[in-house]
Amino acid sequence: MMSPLVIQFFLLLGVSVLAGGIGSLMGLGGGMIIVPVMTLFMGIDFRIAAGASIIAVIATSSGAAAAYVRDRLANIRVGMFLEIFTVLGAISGAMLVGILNARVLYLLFALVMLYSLLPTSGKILREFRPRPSPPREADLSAGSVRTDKIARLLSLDDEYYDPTLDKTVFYHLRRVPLGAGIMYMAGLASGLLGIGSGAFKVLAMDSVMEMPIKCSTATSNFMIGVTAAASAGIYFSRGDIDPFVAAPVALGVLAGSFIGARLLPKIAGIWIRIGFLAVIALIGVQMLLKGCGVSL
Amino acid sequence: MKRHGKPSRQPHTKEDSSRRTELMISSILRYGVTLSAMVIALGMILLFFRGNSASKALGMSAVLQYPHSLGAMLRGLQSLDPSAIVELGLALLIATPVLRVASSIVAFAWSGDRLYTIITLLVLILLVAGMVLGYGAG
Repeated sequence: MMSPLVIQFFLLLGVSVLAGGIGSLMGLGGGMIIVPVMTLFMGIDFRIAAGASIIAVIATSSGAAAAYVRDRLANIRVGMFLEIFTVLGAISGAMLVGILNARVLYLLFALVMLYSLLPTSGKILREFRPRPSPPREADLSAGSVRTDKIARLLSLDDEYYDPTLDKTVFYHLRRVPLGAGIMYMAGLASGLLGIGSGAFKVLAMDSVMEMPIKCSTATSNFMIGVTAAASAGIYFSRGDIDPFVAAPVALGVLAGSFIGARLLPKIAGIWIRIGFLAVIALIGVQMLLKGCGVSL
Repeated sequence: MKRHGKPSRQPHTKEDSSRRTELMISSILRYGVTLSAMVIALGMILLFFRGNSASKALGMSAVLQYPHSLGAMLRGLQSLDPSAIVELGLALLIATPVLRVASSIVAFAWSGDRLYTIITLLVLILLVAGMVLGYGAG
């Protein structure tokens, strides 16, 4: 029974559980970790790896999304409107992955990976130098005049209750077209690389469209599953989803993120986070090198 | 003052009921994932104990083949081919967010929000169009 495929199966399962745990601990998508491991260390074809990873993304994000809606943090209208652009991007990305050279994919992956490390490092740095970020000016004034015309047209402005501030915060969105453009890029990355692109989504909503960070994160998590489903559907109908790879990866990441969310925060300390960050940076560099044609 | 603040406003029945609908729809995601995971796990267990059609013909050490299209998967399901069962679970997983979008269309329509009924419908159309495109590109 110990054929190479069975070994690969259990290896994938084990690695996926780890990736799911690390991902939920560090606030990274599991896709960011699992795709490099599959392609760099297990010699799995990039398209198959991306396909398996995107399935895992659907599994983990769908499981968590319900909580964000329940807490009234996710803005469903914003999410749905922006989904138009992420889905378009995901379709473009998924179609492109069949055309682009594998090396280009590795390079792009490395870039996205290293970019996504920034918010995580920021979080770690903040633990060393605690400095509570004050809520934006615009958030505190209800009925601020800085409402974007499109945001008003589409009823995108909303409010939420922030327990830490102990008040209801109104927010208005700005720069909607630019935000939509970034969402397209987020979808592109998702379809092309098999990741969730949560970092890009939060960037678009929080930094560009000036949605409060808690709502941005919640809405992003709400959106990730739909974007991933768009990519996955294409991979599936193209036959790029290898069930022997996708199944252990999906189940493993699901289990890993479940365990990670429940158990690890109680155990993990700041140094472990730094250690993981270093490992992932290392993997990012390896992807970069592979993209440049160097194999280690 | 309520814990984990839901803002205490005047109860607006239509909004309350649309919120309840939204919460119900969100649980589709969770149930969908659970069901899919169970089907996938079932398929994998069957695979280990029974082997699939390709492995029986070619031996376990051969590269295991899997259904490459929806049609092939359905045919495989008829003969209870384990890799087809796994694929079914994966297909269910992919369908879950799509189902969620479809439900939102109904929810928006029911609450009379025409703009967002159209927007959400557009998202659904794009999702389906993508899959059709992929089918042609295979």
